[in-house]
Amino acid sequence: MDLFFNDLANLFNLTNILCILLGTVVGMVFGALPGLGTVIAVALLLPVTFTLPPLAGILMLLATYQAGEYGGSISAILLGVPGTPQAAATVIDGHPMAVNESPGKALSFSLLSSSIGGIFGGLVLIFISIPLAKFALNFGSPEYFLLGVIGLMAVGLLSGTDKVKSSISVLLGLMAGTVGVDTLTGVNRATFNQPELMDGINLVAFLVGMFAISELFLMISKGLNTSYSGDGRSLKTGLSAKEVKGIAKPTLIGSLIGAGTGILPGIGGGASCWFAYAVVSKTSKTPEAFGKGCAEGIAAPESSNNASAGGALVPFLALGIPGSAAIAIIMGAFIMHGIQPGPNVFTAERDLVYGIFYGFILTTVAMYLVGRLLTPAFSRVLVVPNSFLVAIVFVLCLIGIYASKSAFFDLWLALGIGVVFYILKRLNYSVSSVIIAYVLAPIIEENFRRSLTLSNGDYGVFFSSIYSIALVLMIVAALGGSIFADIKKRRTTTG
Amino acid sequence: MFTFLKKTATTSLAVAAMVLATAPSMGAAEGYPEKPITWIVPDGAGGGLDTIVRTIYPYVEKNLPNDATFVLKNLPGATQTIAVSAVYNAEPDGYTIGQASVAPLTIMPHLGKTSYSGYEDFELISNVFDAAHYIVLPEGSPFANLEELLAHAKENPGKVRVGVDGVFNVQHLPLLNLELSAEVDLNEITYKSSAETKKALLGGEIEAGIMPSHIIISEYEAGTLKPIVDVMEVKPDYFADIPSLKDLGYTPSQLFVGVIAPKGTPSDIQATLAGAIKAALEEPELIEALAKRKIMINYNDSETYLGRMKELDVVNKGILVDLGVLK
Repeated sequence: MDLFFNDLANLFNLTNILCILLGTVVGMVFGALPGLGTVIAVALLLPVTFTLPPLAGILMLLATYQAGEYGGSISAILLGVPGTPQAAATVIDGHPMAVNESPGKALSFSLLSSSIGGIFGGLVLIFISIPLAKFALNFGSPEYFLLGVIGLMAVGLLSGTDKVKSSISVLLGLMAGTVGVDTLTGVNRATFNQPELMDGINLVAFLVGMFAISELFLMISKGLNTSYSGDGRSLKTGLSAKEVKGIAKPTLIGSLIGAGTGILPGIGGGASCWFAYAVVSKTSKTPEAFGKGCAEGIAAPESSNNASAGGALVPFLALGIPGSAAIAIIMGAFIMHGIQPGPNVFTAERDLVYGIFYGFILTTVAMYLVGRLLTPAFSRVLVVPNSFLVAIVFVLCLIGIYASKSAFFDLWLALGIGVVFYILKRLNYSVSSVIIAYVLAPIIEENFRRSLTLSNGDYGVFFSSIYSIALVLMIVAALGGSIFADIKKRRTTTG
Repeated sequence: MFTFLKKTATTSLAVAAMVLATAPSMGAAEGYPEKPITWIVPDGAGGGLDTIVRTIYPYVEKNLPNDATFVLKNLPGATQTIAVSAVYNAEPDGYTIGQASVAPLTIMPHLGKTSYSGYEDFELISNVFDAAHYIVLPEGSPFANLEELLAHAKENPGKVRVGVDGVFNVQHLPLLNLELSAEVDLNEITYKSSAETKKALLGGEIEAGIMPSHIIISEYEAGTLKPIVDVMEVKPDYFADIPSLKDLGYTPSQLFVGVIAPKGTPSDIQATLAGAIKAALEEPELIEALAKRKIMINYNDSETYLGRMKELDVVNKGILVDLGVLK
């Protein structure tokens, strides 16, 4: 494979650079606004690309996509409200660090690990996209089901000590994930004859309701005449060499997990951030620091969601299979220019594909630079008195929910969800367990039932490939390990 | 309660409009349009159908009188029925039209999932484009054509796995119909989208899958996927050599997407809109843009569009009755 771009000047022209910068700014801002997110940002810029040369247009959308992944973390860190589902895991450590220690620092950790994850994803794309795409095809329905189960097991690693409450949270999430028309039979489930519920609970409404609206209620109940952070000192964004070194391992793990799950269409960033968080918290030397504002807990999900962005391009370019809503829209830009992603694109559109590969690395660089520039401004948000902040965030939430599907129903839904989660938060239930279960419920359920349809009811399908056997062994090992640890702990406490 | 009131109001307005329209039957279109026309799109911003409508609408505007403008409104979800219901509930004054595929008009009403009772509740303005869906085999499949696939399925009932992108939809119904008429039992595997079906087919999870023609061109050229039969009536030129179900003596299905309006929209306004759509679809620039995207333009006037819809509705209803889904 020829690694050198035929004509690098093709990439470094003014149009491309400007498009990347525009995409980055739009993606970051939309990602940071709760409810708006990456999909809306990409959809908004799509018509702009029709008038541009293919490479410039596609790079603009990729820059938007990439920057949106980081943007979603900005509000996750500052407000405890993830701007995108992929940033939900960042809340756990990012928000406490921003409130207790320094918002500037928390954002810097996030930006640095996001950028490294993004570059990692880009390198994966350049060097091994074709073999990797073929490898990803080995993961069929049984493997997806088992992956979903492993993801759900991560809940046990995250949530606090109260096993009953965390089980209830998981059940709530799984139940919410089953609302809508059953994909396999066409039967309406818990839709109450609302057409708006036929496609399931709108993810944006769910996310905004559970994180943003409930958080606003909490802010109001704590008193409006305060602000999160009083002094300007904590806004500093610099990181020491020691701090950077401290996140090296979680960033590497997060990047590997992100790229690995990113190549599996349909799993993507929303689940990969939880995988990364669980693995890093389990293997860390200081597992007790997680959940209280630990840098490793920011680096792991942040690097993984950006690495999964690069990973998601692998099946898309090599096989023409878009793995997420944002990628499906980017595919629209390809088709508009008469380019068919798939096995022939690497030969038929060689210059374009390699332009995209190297351009993707450039979008990460742009994300880092724009992020550095905007981070101090963003972190000032926490100096704003809550009386202003609540009103602004609430209006943004309403716009975001409505923009996603133009349905008023979703606004009421989000309000209802917000009230329920305000109560759950006050009672110390784990919100993150609910969201993991909600994201994984359809993956687990559909693939379980589909696997059994494929095998005509034979459970042997879950042991039919080396990949599924490996995944089953991982589940058994994790279960066995935690039961063993539990017994050991009980012995030491009683004896 | 409110919907009841709204519906009564709409009905009485429609009746009034019809009474008025009979006397001076012309005249409603004079000066039309005086304000922007809402075009309801049953797809999210940036989606496949959304981008198609966004490509077409400026050319329709250009061919309408009085500096007409459209406002696009995205109402995705529930197999397009949310958008089609919005058209159903709109004033029949020519200022609301909607894009609709066949599923919300000839399938969903029979399943009892809509507030309207069928395509008869709308004015069908004109059809815009058709789509083709193929039964596709992976590289190295032991079958060369449909006959071999069906013969194998006959000997091994329930063993041949065929992927579709949903239940009781435009892919599932033709497949069920084929099973009924060829007297075979296939194992239908439901995926969430054609992209998922494609992944399963390339990964060797299923023996065959149904997919829209435009997403398999690259694989067809590379030889990794092999379309063997078009389940729809219209064929794209790039797959002209591949037979359709009709060529092989089976009942084909149809997938066409057109523009509809609320029942009772004045007939001369309907004619104005249909004329503008026809003229737009003849503009070389638009033809080129849609050809690039592999969209098969197929303009049908109101009468032909209605005829096709009627025919398909009978076929789809028949399949659902035969399956016992519909009594």
